[in-house]
Amino acid sequence: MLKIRDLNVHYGGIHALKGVTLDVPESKIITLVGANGAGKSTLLRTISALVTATSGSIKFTGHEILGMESHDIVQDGIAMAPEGRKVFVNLSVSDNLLMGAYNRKNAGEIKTDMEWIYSIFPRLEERMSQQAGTLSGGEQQMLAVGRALMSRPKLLMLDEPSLGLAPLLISEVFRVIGQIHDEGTTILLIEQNAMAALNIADYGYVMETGKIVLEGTGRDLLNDERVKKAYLGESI
Amino acid sequence: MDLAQFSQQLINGISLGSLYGIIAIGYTMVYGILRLINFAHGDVMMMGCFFAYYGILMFSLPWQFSFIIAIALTAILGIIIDRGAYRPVRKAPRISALITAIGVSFLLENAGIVVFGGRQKAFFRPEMFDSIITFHGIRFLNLAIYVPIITLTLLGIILLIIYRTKVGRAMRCISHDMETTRLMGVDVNRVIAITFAMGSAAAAAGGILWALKYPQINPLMGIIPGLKAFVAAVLGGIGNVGGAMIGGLILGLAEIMLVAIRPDLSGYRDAIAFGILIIILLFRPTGLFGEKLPE
Repeated sequence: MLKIRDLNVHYGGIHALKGVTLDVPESKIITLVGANGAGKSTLLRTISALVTATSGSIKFTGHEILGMESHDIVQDGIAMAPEGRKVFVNLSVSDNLLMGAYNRKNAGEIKTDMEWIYSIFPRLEERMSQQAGTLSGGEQQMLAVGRALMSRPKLLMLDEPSLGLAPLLISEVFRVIGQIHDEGTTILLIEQNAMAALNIADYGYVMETGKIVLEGTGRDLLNDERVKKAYLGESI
Repeated sequence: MDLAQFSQQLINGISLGSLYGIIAIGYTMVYGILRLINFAHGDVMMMGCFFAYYGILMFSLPWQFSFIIAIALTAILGIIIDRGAYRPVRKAPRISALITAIGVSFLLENAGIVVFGGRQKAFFRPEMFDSIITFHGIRFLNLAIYVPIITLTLLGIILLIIYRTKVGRAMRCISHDMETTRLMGVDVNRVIAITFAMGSAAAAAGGILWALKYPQINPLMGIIPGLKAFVAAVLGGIGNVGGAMIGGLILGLAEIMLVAIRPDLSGYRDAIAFGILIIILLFRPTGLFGEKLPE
């Protein structure tokens, strides 16, 4: 579904992505793990055209999306829940969700999808008319994921959804990611919490200083000595 | 000052203040979204007046049509200015956009002098706005009643668009976080263009009312009202549309009342606005209703 080939990104004098090649097949969960600053977020931001690539190719459902504008990429079916949640704190919970559906016209479908989001995240329904800024960190994360889902994406990209959450909430977030996947959405997940991410993923990539250094099925990577040493030792 | 005089000055102050307010809305909307002080805004207002003037003079349009077409043309001019001048420097440091704004201002003023000529032109005041109302010893032009009604109606429409429509919701999101708004699939440049169109249309409406009140126009007429509207926007809390109108009213009333109470100080009239600006910047830089500075 998403094929990234030899992608290079330069970012304020830094060679942030060095020839990244990565595949996200349809209806899979793919995860990208790696330390802080490895370039994981830069990759997602490049896919969403928030960052401009120097060279390479990103094909989505067969056509090149490199060079397209962010809003057209969303229209094409790629949504992102960005790092740090970035909910619109000055808008209500339901208005945040409506923003996610910005390009959709059918009011009936939007309403159905909002109900779907509320069924996944009942907490959001309880707080639908509250300002998003008054939500807890975990609730904001749920809102960010729900908001991304409101565009009915073919591919959902999640940037560090467990960042800064209490352990109980982290398992809740991963449960929801599994549920969204089961309902038919392809997922590209970025995590520092390598253990949880590799557990849930069909296939994983390990990134270090802008390069993919390892790849394999989630299980293989979990058992890989290098991964164990570098990422799992600390995160368990 | 007796009650009649006071009421008289109150009417004058509200009428002048609501003009500052309606022009200030354009400053505050553009600032809210782009963090850009559009210094050309006063000149956009001037262009609105000239569009209306030529609509009546050259094309012999009825004044109502001429005013509406002028407002529409000014909205388009706002979009063109954004597209031609500000969009190319959108990713540049903010100071570049500010200098660009000053450049656009000089361009409009001097192009105005070349094309329209530098001499004062008499602006046509329709009969509808030209009758004197006498009421318990107070005398004023009925325009003084129309001005706040029209500006408050426009303010209401603008607030409705910002708070009750999808594009308005996108505007509020952009002002909070432009990048994340892009991730929602919002064509941010389009929303910015709509913002410029709305601000410029409001400026044109304000400018035309200004020209009805002081019926002489020239290519430099936008400078002082523009600067004062800027002060009004800062006073109300720049980025806050309702605050801009209230800032305008306060400024207008302060000016008129000072001159009424101390006619000998009337030469300092313009100094009031800038005195208020200095005080606000010193003691409350976010203005009366401004949001706290972002992180």
